Amino acid sequence: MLNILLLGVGQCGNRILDAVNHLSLGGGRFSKYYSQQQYASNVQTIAINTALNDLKEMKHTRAKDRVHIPYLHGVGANRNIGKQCFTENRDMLLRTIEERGNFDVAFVITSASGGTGSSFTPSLIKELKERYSFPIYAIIVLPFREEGTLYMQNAAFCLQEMRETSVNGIILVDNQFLKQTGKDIKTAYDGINRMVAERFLFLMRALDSEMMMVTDLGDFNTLMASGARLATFGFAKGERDQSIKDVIKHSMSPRGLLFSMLPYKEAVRAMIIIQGDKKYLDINEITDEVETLSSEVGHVFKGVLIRNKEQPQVLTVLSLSTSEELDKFYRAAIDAINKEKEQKEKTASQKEEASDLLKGMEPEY
Amino acid sequence: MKKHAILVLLTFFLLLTPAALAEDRTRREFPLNIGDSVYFENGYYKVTLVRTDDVMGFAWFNFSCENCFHEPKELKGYQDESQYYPSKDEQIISIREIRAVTANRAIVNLTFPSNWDWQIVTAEDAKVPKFVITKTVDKTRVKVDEIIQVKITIKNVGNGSASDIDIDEIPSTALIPMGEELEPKIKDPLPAGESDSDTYLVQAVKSGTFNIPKTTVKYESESGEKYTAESDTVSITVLAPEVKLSNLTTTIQFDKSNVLIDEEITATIIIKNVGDAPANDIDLINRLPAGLELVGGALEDKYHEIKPGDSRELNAVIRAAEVGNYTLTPRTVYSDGETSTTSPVISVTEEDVDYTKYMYLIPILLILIIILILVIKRHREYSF
Repeated sequence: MLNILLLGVGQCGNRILDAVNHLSLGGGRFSKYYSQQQYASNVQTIAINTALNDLKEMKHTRAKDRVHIPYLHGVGANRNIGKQCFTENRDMLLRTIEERGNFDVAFVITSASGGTGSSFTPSLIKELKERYSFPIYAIIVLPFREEGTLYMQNAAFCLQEMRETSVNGIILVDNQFLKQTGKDIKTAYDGINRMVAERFLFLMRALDSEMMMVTDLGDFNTLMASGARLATFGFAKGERDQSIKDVIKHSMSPRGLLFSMLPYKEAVRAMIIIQGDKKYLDINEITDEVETLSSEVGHVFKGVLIRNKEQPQVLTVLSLSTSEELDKFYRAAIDAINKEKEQKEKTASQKEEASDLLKGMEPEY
Repeated sequence: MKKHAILVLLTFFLLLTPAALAEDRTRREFPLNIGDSVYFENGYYKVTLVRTDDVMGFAWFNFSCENCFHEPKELKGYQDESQYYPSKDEQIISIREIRAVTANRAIVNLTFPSNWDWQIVTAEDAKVPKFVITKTVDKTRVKVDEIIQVKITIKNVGNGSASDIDIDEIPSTALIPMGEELEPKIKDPLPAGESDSDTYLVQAVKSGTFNIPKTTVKYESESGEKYTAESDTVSITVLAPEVKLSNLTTTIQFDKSNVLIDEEITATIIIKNVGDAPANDIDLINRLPAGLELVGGALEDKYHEIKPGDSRELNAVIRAAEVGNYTLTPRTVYSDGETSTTSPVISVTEEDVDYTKYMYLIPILLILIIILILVIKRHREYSF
């Protein structure tokens, strides 16, 4: 059994962590009152936030698993303040994590654009990597492009800092790409959180299960170590009379991926985990599709979980070498930084002009 | 002179003695039908066959003489037993033998003075009146003060005319004749076959069942024989005068009769006048037994009047204070009397809850408590 540490940092990280805990309890409205968490592994979850209200909004995460960093009411999307806050509370945070025991792997879920998450996560990963040898993966949520210049520059810097740490891999989730759910903002956020949670739980279950075709943490580590150490999830659930081949393809389609990419072009390695009743899992179809993918991207890890009376589900983890979408994102972020810089300079110039005009003058009453 | 007188009387006496007469007597058989008579000396003496008993062989004869000092006499003849008229000591006519007795005929052997002439007069030949008196009323069931018409009808069913008719009508003490003296009048003489009637009125003066006495009618035949006839009595029922009175009934009912201590019972008392006159000065007296307490309403009341058919209802709320069986006996006193009734029994018991029947709830409650504790624990676990 794997010992997994799951950290949710900042508002976005907290909410996805809460969604993971909710689904692990069964997903019912009152399931936390009667159900036990159904993790296959020993999973320790910790939610970290400087905003008390964000922690209070969590419904399915134990109180003892919520860590409040007492710093005003959040860091206000200012990564510098966030970093200072982390430095001041680093020992307390590391002690809290240390008290949870030893782990085989850790996942840190956060938004790249916010204050607490984007500033804490790179530092936290750096500190953890210095202390522990287990692999650490970050699940990073990129902002809507229209959310504002601060969020865009935060995301760019966060992502960059993250890649500069020795993090074992970054799994990208793009809110912009998931706007396609086409609902109101709250429903869209809840939907995104739930999608991420479902895929992550699927992955944890696959890493710690006895499979017909085996994939394990080692395979996952190898996968994530390839290319740019960036990856994303794809997922699909088979409909009635849908072939497993189609389901695999759907998992890698734009509707199934959490980050916009071209799997056959941009992926360097892949892991396909298939779950469902034996009658849906035609081994020839699976092999054909895996072979097709591997001929394009290189090595493909595959795992099959037999679950009686269940429709087929496929989780695809694709590691990236390059990403056109990421390039676009960086360009948008640079534009945002420049815009922010121009505004600041303009303001400073205006301030200086006003100061020159007022120089030598006294108020008249 | 005295000696001659004594001699004459002695001679006369001897002449009249039976011994003297015996020497001049004749014995003769007469076959007679009922009603037939033997007339001696042109009817101065008469012997009439009145009736017979053919089973026993008896035959009864009526002996009479006209304008003599002997009373008429009925003698029973039987075989050879002798009977004498007017007496054994003075045997003028004697029955010596009876034979061949049938239902309406007998042969009688009579002895009588030899010098007497005789003839048999059959019933058809005798002119005998016979009255049948009928007394009727127009109603036999009357109220006090009501008037009844009494009708007396006399029919002469004989073959001779009746005269000197004397009607004797005796009044009843409870049925007083109205008007003049009570003397009904009918046609006199009343020929054979005819009838006549008269009426008079009487007034009922008191209640009860009374008889109008029989009417006695005396009459004579053309031959001067006297007869008497009577009617039957007539029964009259005089009803008591109607008196209108009130009549109250009292009833009491409870909404429940088996109660627990401190439970309340509603009592409903109804007084109803089922009589035909208003009841006045009504006083309902209804004492509550110890062990019951009056909570609301009233159990007693007074009413000035309750008209016939009307009723009054009284409601009270009673609390059962002590264990026991209780009855209420409301009494209603009023102008024309009083009435009382006894209520149904109120049985007051202590609450005896059988908790054992709720034992099955214990595990359920325990489970619920455990669930509640777990839910609270979980809630605290997830509350931040």
